[in-house]
Amino acid sequence: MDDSDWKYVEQMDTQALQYLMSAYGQDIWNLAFLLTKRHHLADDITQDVFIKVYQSIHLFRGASSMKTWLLSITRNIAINYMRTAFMRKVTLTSWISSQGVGVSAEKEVLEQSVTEEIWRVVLKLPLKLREVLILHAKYELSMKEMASVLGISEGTVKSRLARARKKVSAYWKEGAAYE
Amino acid sequence: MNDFEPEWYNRLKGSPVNRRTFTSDHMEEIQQKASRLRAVNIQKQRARRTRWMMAAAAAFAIIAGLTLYHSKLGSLASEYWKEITVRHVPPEPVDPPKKIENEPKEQEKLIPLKIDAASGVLKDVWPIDDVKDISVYNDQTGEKIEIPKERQYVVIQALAWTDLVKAIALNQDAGDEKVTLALQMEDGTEYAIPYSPEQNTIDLGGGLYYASDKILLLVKGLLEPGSRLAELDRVLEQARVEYSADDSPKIDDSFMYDFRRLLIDGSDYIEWQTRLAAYSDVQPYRYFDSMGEKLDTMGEYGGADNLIALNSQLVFASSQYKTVDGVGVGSLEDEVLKKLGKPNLKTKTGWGYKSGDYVRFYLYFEEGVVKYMSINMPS
Repeated sequence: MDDSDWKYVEQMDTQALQYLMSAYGQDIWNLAFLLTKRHHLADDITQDVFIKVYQSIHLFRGASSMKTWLLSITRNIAINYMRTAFMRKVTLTSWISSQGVGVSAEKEVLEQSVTEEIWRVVLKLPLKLREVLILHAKYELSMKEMASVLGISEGTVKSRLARARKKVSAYWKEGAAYE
Repeated sequence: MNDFEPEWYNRLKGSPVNRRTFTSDHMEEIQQKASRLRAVNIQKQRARRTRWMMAAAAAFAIIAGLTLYHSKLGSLASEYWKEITVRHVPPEPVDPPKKIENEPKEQEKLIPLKIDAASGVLKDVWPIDDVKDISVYNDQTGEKIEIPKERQYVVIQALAWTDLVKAIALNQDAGDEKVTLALQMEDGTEYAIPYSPEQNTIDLGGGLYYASDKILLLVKGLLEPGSRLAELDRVLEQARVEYSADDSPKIDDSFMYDFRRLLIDGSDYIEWQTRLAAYSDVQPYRYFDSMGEKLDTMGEYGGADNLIALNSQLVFASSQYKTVDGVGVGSLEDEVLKKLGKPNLKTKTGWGYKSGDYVRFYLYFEEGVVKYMSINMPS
């Protein structure tokens, strides 16, 4: 199904949902994980993203690609989760099960067997820098798309991206020096 | 952006974890949940349609009756009108309560926030990320109340997701009781957003918009610490803090409860919604549900009913409501353990019981005694 076809869909059936999940599910999960650094939260956020899309596909009007739209929803829901903490359980009861973790976020990240050392470095970045870097490097979004997803100006995106790259390069070199 | 990419850049194109974490089981679960949600929505739509048809039938019957007895009613109505116009003469004006004058009031020095955009959510048209600190001014007394840092997310979140179309207040009169939310930005600028606790609305310059239910609880907690909503806010917040702590307990998934044992007075959340329609002693507040992107109503049910309907959560504050095992407000911890059993999730203040996939039944304790019992909307 082309991106342009989705804008004519008023109500989604489970087959279409299955198609979207197969095509973008892992990408969505990865972004949720990279933003929250928590495996369980990434599970819940991915679920919320697809439920929201299932209920609100009529809001997709093709202004961006389907992938960018999904990434935008994922980012917003992830930020919401991180901001609202427990009170979110009122509307998303599944949150509570994911919140009851006994280990710190950083420890959990290590336990997730991150594939590359570089990801450990990226996960050390503050959220504002991390999200820009991930959207650009991993998801290959343009400046304009990132500005739209993050709700900030292109100038701010550029400045944050430059800072993120600088920091990661510094950590990366520092790490290499010890090896 | 500079096209030069560091050598590590390409490594970020791969997956951060070394296995597939979004599996067919996840997809299956989401599909089932989506189907259940749609079924519930269809059920609700049908119920709404039935109510409309009944209302229409009742209106038709009344109009028919009025038409039949028009001449007789005409004279009766004329006499009644005379009576009520006499009865309802407005009372003599009395001196208005004197306000404490603080010229100029601190909050009047703030810049009133004015949003000109006609659509979208507030975070897309105003730099909400730059808010550094938030406080509340009581407009009647001029008193400034700091909102604790750990609670400011309530205001930030509600403002960020205020939909400039869907959250417009149905009643554009904010009423007399007002407070001012003062937002200090990173560059030192301070903005004022008038908030009405009566209507649960914020004034964004171009009109009134409904706030979230959590803002209402927060403001009540700050301004009327003795009120029922403030009490509830205090206990829910305490539970939130305990659940959010780094050393918070993990949910125990090794067992779950038969849903019938977690019903309150034999009803689940959906059935309670129907039952509440018959309750009359209610103080309703509208709010904007940003997740559902719709307006909704929460209610404080007074008198003997004594329960509070929040967004997707019913909180029972009276000992008259019980589970089938006899657990209710006023039960002691030991009594709960004996009658119902151990919770799947337990902190000092909040005990959660799981039925099916989620924890849907909570007991909130104060000094070892159940203060509130709550059930959540099935998600």
